[in-house]
Amino acid sequence: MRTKRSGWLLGVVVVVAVLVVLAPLLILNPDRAQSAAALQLALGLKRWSPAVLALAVLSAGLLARRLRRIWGWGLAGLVVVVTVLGSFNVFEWMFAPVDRLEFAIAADLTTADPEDMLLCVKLGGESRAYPVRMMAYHHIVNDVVGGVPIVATY
Amino acid sequence: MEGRVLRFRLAGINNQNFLMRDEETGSYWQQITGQAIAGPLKGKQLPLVHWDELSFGVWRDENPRGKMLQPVGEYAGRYAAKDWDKKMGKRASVVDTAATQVAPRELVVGVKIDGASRAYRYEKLVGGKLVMDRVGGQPIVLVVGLDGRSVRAFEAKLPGKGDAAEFYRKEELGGGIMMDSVSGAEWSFAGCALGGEYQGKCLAPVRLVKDYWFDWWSYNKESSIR
Repeated sequence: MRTKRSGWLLGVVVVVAVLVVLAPLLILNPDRAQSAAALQLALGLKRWSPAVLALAVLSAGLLARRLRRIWGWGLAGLVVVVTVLGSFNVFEWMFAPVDRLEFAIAADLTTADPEDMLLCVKLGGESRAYPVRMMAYHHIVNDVVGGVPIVATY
Repeated sequence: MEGRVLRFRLAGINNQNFLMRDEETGSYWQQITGQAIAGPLKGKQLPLVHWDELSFGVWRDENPRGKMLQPVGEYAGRYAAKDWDKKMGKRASVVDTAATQVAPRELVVGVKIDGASRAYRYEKLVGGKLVMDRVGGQPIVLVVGLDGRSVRAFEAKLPGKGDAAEFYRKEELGGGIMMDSVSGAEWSFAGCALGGEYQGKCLAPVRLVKDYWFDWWSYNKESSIR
């Protein structure tokens, strides 16, 4: 009875862990529309997933220990794998961030295409430009222009 | 935000407009609005910085000492191709704009003043080169650069004056791109007078967003379009 209950509980823990990681991925799909409710659910799951998954790993370990079955440890291992996968930012897998910024002076860029489009800002007397074709991939650049911290987005 | 510098990471997508997450509080922010939609800072608004979308040629001429972000070597192969906007224009949209009778991926330039929104069809704007309009009660002028691609918007009021002025497209004069009907001065694409009583003074810029119609309309449901 105790084994059966622990087994069921472990199954629930696995399902919860998978749902917490999988649901946001399914909801936040660029080829699907997101309703306001689905969006808030996905974001809520993402915000709470570290705590939920930590609890899931702990619970799975304790339940597996109680069960003393190989399959129990297998399921606990699955929870660990799901937790590790859930720690990755899939969006940054697809679109890498720019962590190190390098700039060149406009007048020195004699071979640059004059028709290439840029996002341009001017703050504190300092002029900065971010090529649209780069931004279309990276999407976000954290920068400081004229002493003002900004985030350029596209 | 509230005295803290926030750093942002790409975090998701909402009807084909991306979400970002700040590392400091874990709040989620909508890219197009700069507003936090979930997390401890929900409801907060990032102060928007005025920007222009310009061709490199125009920007370099105006800012020869400006600094341009350089490609990151390992990712250079993933950057968009020169014709990427044409390809993106054919991609399906998840936002249904049928009720507006405007194609979802029609490129527009959007302006929002005092709660009133208006979008201008980009190709039509580029063809016409200059548009005078009134949005939210404010007279504005949208002008296209000599490159035929860059667009800026300004308050159509002469510096220090409260009355609206008419602006006309004028090329091949003294380097200016438009003239006003009141002083007859020439104005550069940067919106600054090149001579006359307003020499050195500039028109107040108006923020505009170049975007696909579906994305602009998603957050500006009352927007008109011309």
